[in-house]
Amino acid sequence: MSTSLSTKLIRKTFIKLHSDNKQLDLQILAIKNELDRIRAKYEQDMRNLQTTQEHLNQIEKEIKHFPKDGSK
Amino acid sequence: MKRFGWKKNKTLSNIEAAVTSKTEEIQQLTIENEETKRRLQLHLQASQEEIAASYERIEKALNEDPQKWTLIKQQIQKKSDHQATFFPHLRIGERLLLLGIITAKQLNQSLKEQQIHGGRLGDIVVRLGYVSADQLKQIIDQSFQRLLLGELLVRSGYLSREELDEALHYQESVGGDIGEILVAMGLITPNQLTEALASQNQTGRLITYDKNVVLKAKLPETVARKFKALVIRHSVDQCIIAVESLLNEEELHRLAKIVDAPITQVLASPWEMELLWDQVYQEELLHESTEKLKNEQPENSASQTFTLTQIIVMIVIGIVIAAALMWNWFYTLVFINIIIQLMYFSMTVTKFVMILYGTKENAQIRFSKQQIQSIDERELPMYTILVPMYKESNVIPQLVRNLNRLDYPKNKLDIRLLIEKDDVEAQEVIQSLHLPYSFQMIIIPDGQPKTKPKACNYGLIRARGKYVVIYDAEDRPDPDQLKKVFLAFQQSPDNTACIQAKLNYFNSKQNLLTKFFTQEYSNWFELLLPGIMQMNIPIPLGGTSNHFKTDMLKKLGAWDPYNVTEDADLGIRLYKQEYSTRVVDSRTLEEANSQFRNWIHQRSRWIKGYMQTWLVHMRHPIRLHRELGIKGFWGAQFMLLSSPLLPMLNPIFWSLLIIWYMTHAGWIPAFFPGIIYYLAAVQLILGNFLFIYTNIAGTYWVVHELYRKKENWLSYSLVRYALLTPIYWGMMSIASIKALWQLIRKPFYWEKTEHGFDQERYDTTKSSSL
Amino acid sequence: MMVKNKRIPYYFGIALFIIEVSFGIWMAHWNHFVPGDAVSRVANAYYVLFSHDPHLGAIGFVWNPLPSLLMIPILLLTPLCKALASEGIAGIILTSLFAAFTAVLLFKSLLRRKQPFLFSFAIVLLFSFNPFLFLYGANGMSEMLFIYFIMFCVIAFVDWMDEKRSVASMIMIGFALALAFLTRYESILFGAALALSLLIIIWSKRNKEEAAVYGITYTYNKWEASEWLALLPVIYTGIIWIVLNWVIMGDGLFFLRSNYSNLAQSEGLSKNPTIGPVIGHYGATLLFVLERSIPFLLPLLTILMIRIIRRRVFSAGFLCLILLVLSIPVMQIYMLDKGASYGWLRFFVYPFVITLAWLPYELQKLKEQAKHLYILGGCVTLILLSASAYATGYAMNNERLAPEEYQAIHYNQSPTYFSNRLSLHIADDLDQLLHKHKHASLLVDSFNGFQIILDMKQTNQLIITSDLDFKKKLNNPVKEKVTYILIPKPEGVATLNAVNEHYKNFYYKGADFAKLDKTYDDQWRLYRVVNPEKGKR
Repeated sequence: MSTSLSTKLIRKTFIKLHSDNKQLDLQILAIKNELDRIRAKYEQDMRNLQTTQEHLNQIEKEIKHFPKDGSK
Repeated sequence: MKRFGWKKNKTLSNIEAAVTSKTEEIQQLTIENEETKRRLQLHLQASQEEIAASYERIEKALNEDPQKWTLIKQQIQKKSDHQATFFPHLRIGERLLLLGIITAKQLNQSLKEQQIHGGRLGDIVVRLGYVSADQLKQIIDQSFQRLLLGELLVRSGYLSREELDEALHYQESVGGDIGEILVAMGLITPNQLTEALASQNQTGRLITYDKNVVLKAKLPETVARKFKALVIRHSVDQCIIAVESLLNEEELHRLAKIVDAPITQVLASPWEMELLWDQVYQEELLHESTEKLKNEQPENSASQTFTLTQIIVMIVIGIVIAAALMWNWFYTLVFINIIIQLMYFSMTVTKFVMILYGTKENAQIRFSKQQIQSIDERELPMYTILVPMYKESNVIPQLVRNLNRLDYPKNKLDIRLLIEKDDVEAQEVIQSLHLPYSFQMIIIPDGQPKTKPKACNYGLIRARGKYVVIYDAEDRPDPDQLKKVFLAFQQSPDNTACIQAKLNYFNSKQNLLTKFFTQEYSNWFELLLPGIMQMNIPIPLGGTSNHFKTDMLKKLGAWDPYNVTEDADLGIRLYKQEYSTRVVDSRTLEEANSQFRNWIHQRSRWIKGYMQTWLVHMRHPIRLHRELGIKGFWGAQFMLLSSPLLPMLNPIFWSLLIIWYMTHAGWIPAFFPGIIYYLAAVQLILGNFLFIYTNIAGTYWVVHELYRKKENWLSYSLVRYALLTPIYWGMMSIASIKALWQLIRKPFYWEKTEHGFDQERYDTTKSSSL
Repeated sequence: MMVKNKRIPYYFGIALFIIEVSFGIWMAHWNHFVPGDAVSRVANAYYVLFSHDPHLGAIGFVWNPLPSLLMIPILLLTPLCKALASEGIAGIILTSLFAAFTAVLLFKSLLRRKQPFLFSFAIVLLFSFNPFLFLYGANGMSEMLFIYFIMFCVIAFVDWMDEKRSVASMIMIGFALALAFLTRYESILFGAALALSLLIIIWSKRNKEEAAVYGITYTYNKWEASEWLALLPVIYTGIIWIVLNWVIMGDGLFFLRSNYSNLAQSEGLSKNPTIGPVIGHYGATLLFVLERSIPFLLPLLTILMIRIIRRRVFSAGFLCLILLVLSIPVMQIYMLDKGASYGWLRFFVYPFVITLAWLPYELQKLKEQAKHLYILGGCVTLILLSASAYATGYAMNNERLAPEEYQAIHYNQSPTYFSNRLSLHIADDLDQLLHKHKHASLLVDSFNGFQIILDMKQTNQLIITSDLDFKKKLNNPVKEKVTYILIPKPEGVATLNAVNEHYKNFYYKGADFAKLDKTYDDQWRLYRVVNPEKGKR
């Protein structure tokens, strides 16, 4: 009687742990995906900003070297 | 016992350890994520601040030398037809700054505003009152010239010139939009494309939006769909809409009347639109995909299994039979038996005739390799592929590989992976795979009924393709299938709404069950189905690989989400509208069910669906007869009834036969009076044999055809197992009885088939037995 | 012209049918000559429809059932035309039909194989009007049906070998073979030869093309699958035949073992002057077979010649042809040697049919490969076919070589003729008798009495072998209220008559319950059943 009860309990625990385990795998995958998304977004934004920055640097340089007389 | 317990304990503790370590890992990862997020945010902020500082510096530099500034202003205002030596391609903000119309501070303020609400910078500065609208327009008109999209992308640094050339070259052979080609080739992202398109058209780009605002401002779904536009923000003075491609003047005018405000358009990528649409109109889409058919053609919807009339008719029939039994049970039973025997006999004959038709060479539309090669790819239309799946994330990598093998320009593919909302695993797997941009994940919101046809309907609503096809997740279509279908549609009459590809199995060698299943499918798709089409009667379509003309499918009301064999049902409805269906000589390989229990589930679902479909269309038998014509009507009766009824009746007659030989009870032959006796005998002796023999011949036929094409993923050894077909009949009987039980108990319950048990090992296409 | 040509084979078939039927009816009705076996088959079909308890089982389980089965629809018209049954005309119609089918089949095969129209026509004429084939197309025997099925098989086999419609051909072979089995048992050996030929062709193809690509298992599987496709129908038919014999007659091999089977009938052979000396002597048997086969083997020389021209004598295809041609004669050699066959001429005709079915293929190949020799080949073909026709006619007119056909030719001297006239007389007499006594019943074993039964009108008063209660009534005629018993004189096969078997010496002495009523020509006697008990009192 007690043995059967205990096997039942073990089996229950077993199943629960199994599903937990799977759930956790999924969570890990989700977090990793999240990280990937953050990185991708960051890279994209950063690239945009950098292009803008370079563009501005260019403008600054051009202002500096702009010929005063206006002729070529 | 002890040892066993110990062993179990050990595995238990192993798992426990794994769980603990994973929990820790998750905590760790979460922290790391937060950390990274913050760090990156800081980087971005620093960068933004630096840009802001640059503006300030520029302003300062200009202020220091007013004389130079005047010259610069003149230079900029000079409308330059040729390439300007100085300040090439200034953006609007920079231009305003250099012209001294706004200050650096104002500019930075506007940029911040843009970051929060999105929209076009020009509009923002106007709204903030820094510049008047007229002034802005004047500046824009004098300073911007339209550039080619590719050129624009190269200038923005997203693309190298060589890459552009390559893409242009590709465009020449394939046709289509250059932007989409660049995306499909993986050279730019859809975001970059949209950005470039926005700047090319001098409109804004959808950057951010507030979901609550969007939800509050939403248009009726029909209007939104008509204009393909979503309202992002709606105030008294303006209405910002997100579009995939810009609306023309007239459309803008009409829409403006509806929203009662001037309209500003911002561009969004198809992917963003999809997401937006999903967020805003989920309910409407869901409603449409589940209720459309039910509302528009209630007579064709299986949302109700039995109508009142049908129940009454059944009760009346039941009473009549009971009364007749009481009056004279023997004659009644004989009478019923005679009817059943005649039905049985006619079904046998019909099936045989169909197979004879199916053996004709032209029963399938065939194309040679040369014909495929000589297709001008520029003529190929957009093609939508719907892949409904549920809890089969383990086959997704396979699926992607199989779909990538399709020989079709990638920029003309619109692949929609239809994932149920609660199938988180699949969603995560898809995200982690970084799929090419032709793949889109569509998340099907929760709601009853949760069936494959509902998912397909949901995916179909916004499908972009001229043609649409359904594949299951584990399907492997022949690479040239889409092109063959394209040709098939071209050379078929206009009323051809559907082209069915042939289905077969790649794991025929796994066990006896998969062998049986392969035989059945070989016969069904290679012989019977083409035969049925030759005879021009309604066709129960195969579950996957049916290619439709999108507009016709939509007009028809698409799939019935309440029907568990939506494909068979759709076949009948196609016929009702006088659309025709044909079979193309191209295969899709699937995975055959290899487990008995699973097989029974699947088969009983099919049989249930056939019964359901029959009940739906037989609500008004006379009207159905009128709609289908005499041939179509009886054909439909045959198609829908033979698969559930034959296996259900078989056990009765088999047991009669066995009882007769065991007991020689006199009452058994009495049920078979006169000619019926001979009919039953012919049935027994000839009918059963013919079924087995056609199974053998059909299997041989398919294998032989493959052999002639030098393919050998099906083996001749399959043929001998057809001798055991009666075992398969027994199994079908079990399934059909289960189906009847379920039809009455829970008609919409969807018995899920599991896939991907052991794909690699039993794959005959890979490990051929040479 | 082409369209017209396509239809001509059918017109020819119709014409041939009319000619054969006319000839058959002339022989049967005016000359009173129909072979006993042919009438017997009609009778079997007749019992199904018109005995006092109609059921399909009455068709009998001794002879292959298909010919009788096919006659049933024709016999449905018997009430309109009595002669269909009584003169065996139903059988004649059936064989004429199949003679026409065969001719059309051959004709179409020739045209399909691109043979000139007139040439094809000549071949078909020489085939259909070969004296033997013409006679058997009009006499109601089972041979013509068998010939059709065999020809069908061979043509399908050649198509398969030539990779035209391969799967369909196999299916055709399958069904034709099954139908052949339902017609004559010779099909077993023929089928075996066909099965072997499949193996040979598949193996030779493997050596030519596949050996490098596929393993031996692949070829084995392919062979096995092909055999199933081609042989399953005939195997299944065989099984069903045995099961039916078992279920209905209580013995799975009833058709082999029964009193009336061919085997039982040939028991008296050792005394036969022609066959007797042959039994147990291989040399003599061979000579016996060869002598009768020569007329039918002549066309094979054509193919041999073509093969020599094409340099393809030692090829798989030719080997198959030889196998098929030899299969049935080999069986005859064995059976003659064992004393189990009558060695009729009709047993040796099949090589002729097989060769002709094969011929179109050879002619096509010759035309394709050696155009300049094609005309020569064509001439030789026609010459050999004519020679064969002549030789056949010669053999048929020789009483020693062809006793059956000799009888047919000299019908008015044949015993069949006399016995038919006698039967007519007896039937007339019995009809009058039974008409007078409406409640009388007459027991007769249809094994010998079929001709009389067919000639009679009062058939519902008859008790015949196929009736389910025949045995019971035979065992106890008094109690079962049998009024008359008709019995033949126990000579030759008539000793196997059920009444003769059950009551020894019944013909000569009667029994205590039966009194002699009448004797017909010392061939048949009619006994009246009396109650012996009553007589004693």
